[in-house]
Amino acid sequence: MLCLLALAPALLEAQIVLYSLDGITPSPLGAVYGYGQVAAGDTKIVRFRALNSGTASITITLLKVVNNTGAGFSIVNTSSTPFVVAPGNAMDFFAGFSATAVTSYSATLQVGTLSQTVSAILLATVVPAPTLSVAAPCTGPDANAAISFGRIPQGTQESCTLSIMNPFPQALTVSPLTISGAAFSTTLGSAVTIAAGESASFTILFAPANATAHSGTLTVGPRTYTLSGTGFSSPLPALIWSFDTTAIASGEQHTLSLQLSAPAPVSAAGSLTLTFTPSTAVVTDDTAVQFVATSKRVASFAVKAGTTAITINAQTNVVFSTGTTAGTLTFAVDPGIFGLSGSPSTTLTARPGPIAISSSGATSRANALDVVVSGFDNTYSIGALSFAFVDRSGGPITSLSADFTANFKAFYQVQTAGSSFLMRVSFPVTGDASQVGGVNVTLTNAAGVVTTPRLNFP
Amino acid sequence: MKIFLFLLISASAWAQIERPFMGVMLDENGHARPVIGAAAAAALGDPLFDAAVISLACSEKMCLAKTETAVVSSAGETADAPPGAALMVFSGDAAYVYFVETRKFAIWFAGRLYLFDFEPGGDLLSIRANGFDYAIARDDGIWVGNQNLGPANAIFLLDGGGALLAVDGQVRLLRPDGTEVDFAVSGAGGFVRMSDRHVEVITDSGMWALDVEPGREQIFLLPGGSR
Repeated sequence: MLCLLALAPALLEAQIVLYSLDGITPSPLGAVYGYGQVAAGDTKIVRFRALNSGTASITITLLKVVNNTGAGFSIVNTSSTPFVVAPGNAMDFFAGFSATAVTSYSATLQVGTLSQTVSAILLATVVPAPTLSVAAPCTGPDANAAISFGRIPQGTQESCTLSIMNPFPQALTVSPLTISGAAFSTTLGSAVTIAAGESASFTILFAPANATAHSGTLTVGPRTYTLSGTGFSSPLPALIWSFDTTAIASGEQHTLSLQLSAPAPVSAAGSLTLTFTPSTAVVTDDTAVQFVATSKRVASFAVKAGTTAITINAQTNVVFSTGTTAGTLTFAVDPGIFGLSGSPSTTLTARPGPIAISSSGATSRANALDVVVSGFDNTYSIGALSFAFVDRSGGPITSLSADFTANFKAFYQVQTAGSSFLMRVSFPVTGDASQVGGVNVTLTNAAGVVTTPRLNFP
Repeated sequence: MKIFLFLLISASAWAQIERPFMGVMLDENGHARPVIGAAAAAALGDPLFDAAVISLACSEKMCLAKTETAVVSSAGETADAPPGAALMVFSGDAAYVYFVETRKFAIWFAGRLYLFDFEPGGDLLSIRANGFDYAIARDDGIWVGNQNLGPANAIFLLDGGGALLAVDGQVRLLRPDGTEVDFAVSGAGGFVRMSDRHVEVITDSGMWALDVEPGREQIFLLPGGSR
């Protein structure tokens, strides 16, 4: 009993308030809601909202439309009941109307809980509607009643011819005839009367003043169509790629600058992308191939209207690394909506080369001779080495061969940033190692043979 | 032939292969980051120190960094220090440290700083441990000992003699024998000792590495996010 008394005030405050929504804006629903004129065979769907304005949850158990005249109204695409609505929350639902007979229709919308029911009268009138057709270059209307004017250069115009056909056996007055959207215009009057079985044609002009997407609406009697079109700027003139040299090799840094072959018609911006394709199957990439200052493979570019100079990352040029892997570097510009005349990309190739040695040295211990060689092999085929030892007076002692192919293969399997290596080779020695004065190391890969200068043991 | 009676070099050599280490750079965010790989195609490793550092110097064995309040080593040693930047140069297992703001001189050894009185007679710009040379700024130029090298934006004394000077859009490598090699680098404003062989050149538009080994001199842009 105490519980019921405690709940009673909340139950009394709970109530349903109905709204209709035009887009996202709710309007309080009065006793009558008019769908207006609906073209025969068309469907018009209206979104409604049942708001719980009370302070306790309610459960909507009743949601239906009762057709009073004809059978055109129905609840569509809506959650089923019972439906619990918390205080201040709402249940949205949709009521559609569609009919073919030209007459007036009415129905009663009912929304309720076990203790409360609210209702509204829904009205609609089916009217004969003409058929709209669109000639090329426009397309549509499609299933969503959309008519497209496509893409044309900004500052130009495009006209499309549209026809309204009266398929009925009596004359038809089509009203209203209106158009909206700043980029769209027509000489069509506000209404037109079309004889039975005849058509009336008119043109709509699409004139985009700037490079962007434009939209509008065309109302033909009870039907409304969406108009769309895109204006774009003239494409940017062809690119001029300027490298400090096009004869590149691995282990180098070079500069790229870009300019246009003619002044840009508009200020434009986009991206410059560097991609790398190794010429060896040993690795799939070399992450050292990049725009160095940013350690990235994408840069931004910009050009001002009336100029040809292109800035890359806000600089006049960009430095890139060729990495230490033979392969092809591809530079590609993406101008986005601005478009580009000519090819947007170019390539440079770092060819396979002999092993590059950056440093080398030799040291000796009591029972061993150590040789250190650092460098890179852009073919990833290093392995066969030979060591020519000489005595303190330069006379030959012996020449030894070694095959470290397996060692390098295992090493390169886990590398992603190129072929650079530092190799320490140790030779066990029996006897007086100090008699050995130096060594020449010969390194062989798929592209050739290279020999270090004489490495002297201290 | 005689030599083979006393010497046998085994053909069963073994090899150890690793990524080459070029040194440690100070990036634009103040992080000390290992530079690995080949010149002109290097990659960066993770920062050596958790915090950003103001000054950095590295040898083949270790790095010393100056934070706002301490000198820290890559071995994990920390010693409280005066605020501001520091000039640091290695001498064996020790290092000379000069605190620029407070004009204090110290020797770092085994994780401790030993302060000394030192009056260089001008603004100290660089130190060379070998023989303890130093460069100071005076009104008429930069002096090293009794030699005036003229005006420059920055100077770095090289271990084996010689120096790097940042002048007129160039970095000038001066050898002890009087020869010089110029590198076109605009806006050079400072140098960091990356390793025994490489010196970082700090500019407004990026960080460069200069290979100072005789016969192999070259400069290349270090990876980073400075643009």
